[in-house]
Amino acid sequence: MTEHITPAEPARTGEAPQRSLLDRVEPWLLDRKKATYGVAVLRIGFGLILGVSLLADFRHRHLAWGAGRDWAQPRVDTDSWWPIFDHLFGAGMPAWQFNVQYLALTALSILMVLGWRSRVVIPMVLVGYIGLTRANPFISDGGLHLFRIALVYLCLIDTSKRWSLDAWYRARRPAPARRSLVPAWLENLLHNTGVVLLAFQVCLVYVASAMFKIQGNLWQEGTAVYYVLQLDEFATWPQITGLLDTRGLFIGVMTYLTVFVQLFFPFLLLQRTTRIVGLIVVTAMHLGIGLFMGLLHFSLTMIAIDAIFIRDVSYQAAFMRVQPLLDRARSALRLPARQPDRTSTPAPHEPRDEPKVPDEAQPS
Amino acid sequence: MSLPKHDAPPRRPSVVVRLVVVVVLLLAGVHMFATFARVAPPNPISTAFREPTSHHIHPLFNQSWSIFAPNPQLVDLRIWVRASYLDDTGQQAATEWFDISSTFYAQVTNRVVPPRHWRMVAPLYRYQFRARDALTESQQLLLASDYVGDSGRGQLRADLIAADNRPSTVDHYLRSEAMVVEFATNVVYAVHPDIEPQAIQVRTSSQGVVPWSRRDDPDATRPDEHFRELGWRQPIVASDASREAFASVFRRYLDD
Repeated sequence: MTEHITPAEPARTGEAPQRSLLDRVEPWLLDRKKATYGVAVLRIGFGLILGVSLLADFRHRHLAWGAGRDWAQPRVDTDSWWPIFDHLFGAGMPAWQFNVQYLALTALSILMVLGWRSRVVIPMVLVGYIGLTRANPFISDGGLHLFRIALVYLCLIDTSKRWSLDAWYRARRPAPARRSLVPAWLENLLHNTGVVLLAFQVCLVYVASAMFKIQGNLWQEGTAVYYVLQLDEFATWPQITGLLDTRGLFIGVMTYLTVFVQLFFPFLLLQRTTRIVGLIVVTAMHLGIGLFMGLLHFSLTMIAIDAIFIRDVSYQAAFMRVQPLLDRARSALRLPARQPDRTSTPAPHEPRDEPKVPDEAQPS
Repeated sequence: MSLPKHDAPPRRPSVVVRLVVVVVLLLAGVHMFATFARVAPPNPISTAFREPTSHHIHPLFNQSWSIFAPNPQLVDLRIWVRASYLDDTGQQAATEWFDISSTFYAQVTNRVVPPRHWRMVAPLYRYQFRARDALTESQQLLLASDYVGDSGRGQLRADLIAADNRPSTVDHYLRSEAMVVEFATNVVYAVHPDIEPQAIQVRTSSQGVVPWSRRDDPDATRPDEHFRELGWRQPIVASDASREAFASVFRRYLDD
């Protein structure tokens, strides 16, 4: 197979006549890990989403996933899932064991927030999450599927390069001749492929949703949001949404904005200005859906994944602005002063070759 | 680039590196194609690749993004239950109908962090609805009849098969009905801890909303609720532990 690839294929027209497409793609994939701050925000966000929802569901747990859900077992048995996961939180499990496993998953989600041994913790969270959600297939929505799929991609990604205990430990013990089974270029390749897959997944959610919506006459007529807010199932703040749903203009704008921002999301990402606008609009949309239609898990999951579309330089610039405030707060609390290393957590031994583009320095 | 220990790649990619890059890109590309083909609205491309893409997506990457689309759901779906029991005088009596769905919806009203399972009843409704829909008309008529006692379920199966001999469709329906009945039995024990149900009856309902054109009309009311009743059935209890676990949580919803 190599013969076909190694001799550079005839160059495309354009600025680099000597280089094949692969020659140009390879450095992007191999040289450096992309979106390192974005995936750190994603890891922290996912840990919080899972941890907070498990704690919020604590008093419901026996009905939702424990012995009180045994009525759903026939569906567990007939759905086509790998059986190994069906036994993790299987029917007939003693209550103490269920509680221990439930709390262990909660603890793992906290470790995920902290970024402790993320390479091991994230696959464990994935397995535990599938196990728990398999226990009751009737608790299922887009947010649950998305969370699981994103966790699969996160297994490829180095999520604890920034803002994590892993990074902090690495900085304390500088480079003990890091011996990895996986060479650096391969690690970078998997990381960047994972980031691409996450970006693809988010675009897929938006574009597929929009493709379904534009077939419907209520979305075309601009009234769909009104109908959603009429249902007991989704009107979770009826007093507030009751005020909104008679305002025709509001409903029309929301309905069209939802369809168009979803359909055009991938294109909004291409340019910095439209990217900022697009991310602000989808974040507002998710907060609205999350708070007023009861779909909080899905919404926060989307917001957390959207964090990868903010570039590393933007996070760095934002952090540099926040840092003086943190330092002042720290000195006010009389905590020991920080090392004067200007930036925050990046490990000192790594090359700081990220381009500092002045006009990109605004936080998105 | 002073100390490129970790991040630096080999400057000239070797044949092995390039081969790995190509394989990873191919895998990612195939994965993305298969996912898109499965998740987009039905189209000729996804039809052409139905078998392999379905195999690839299930179960790990399974997903659906047609919520609120093509049009949002226009009705509220509810599951109700009542029970028959022997009262103090030994007479047959029946409880009032109890609305299970609204009890779950109340759990999320005016709450910022909704419990994860509050929409559990609607998927159960749809699961049973689809399984019922796969039956023939004459089979569906049978479902309104009573099948109680220990032989009830066996008799229902025999009658359904006699009406149309497709055992896998019938068994799929019976499985869905058994889940609804067991779920509803749990509710009965939680709501009426003091009675011993002899039989239970489940009905499902759907109710439309005030149409957009009448949204400003203060006299507008929601259309009538449509009910679909199953006949009386034998209660199903998986185990006392399961029943208790369900009731311990569900009773709190009644107090809220």
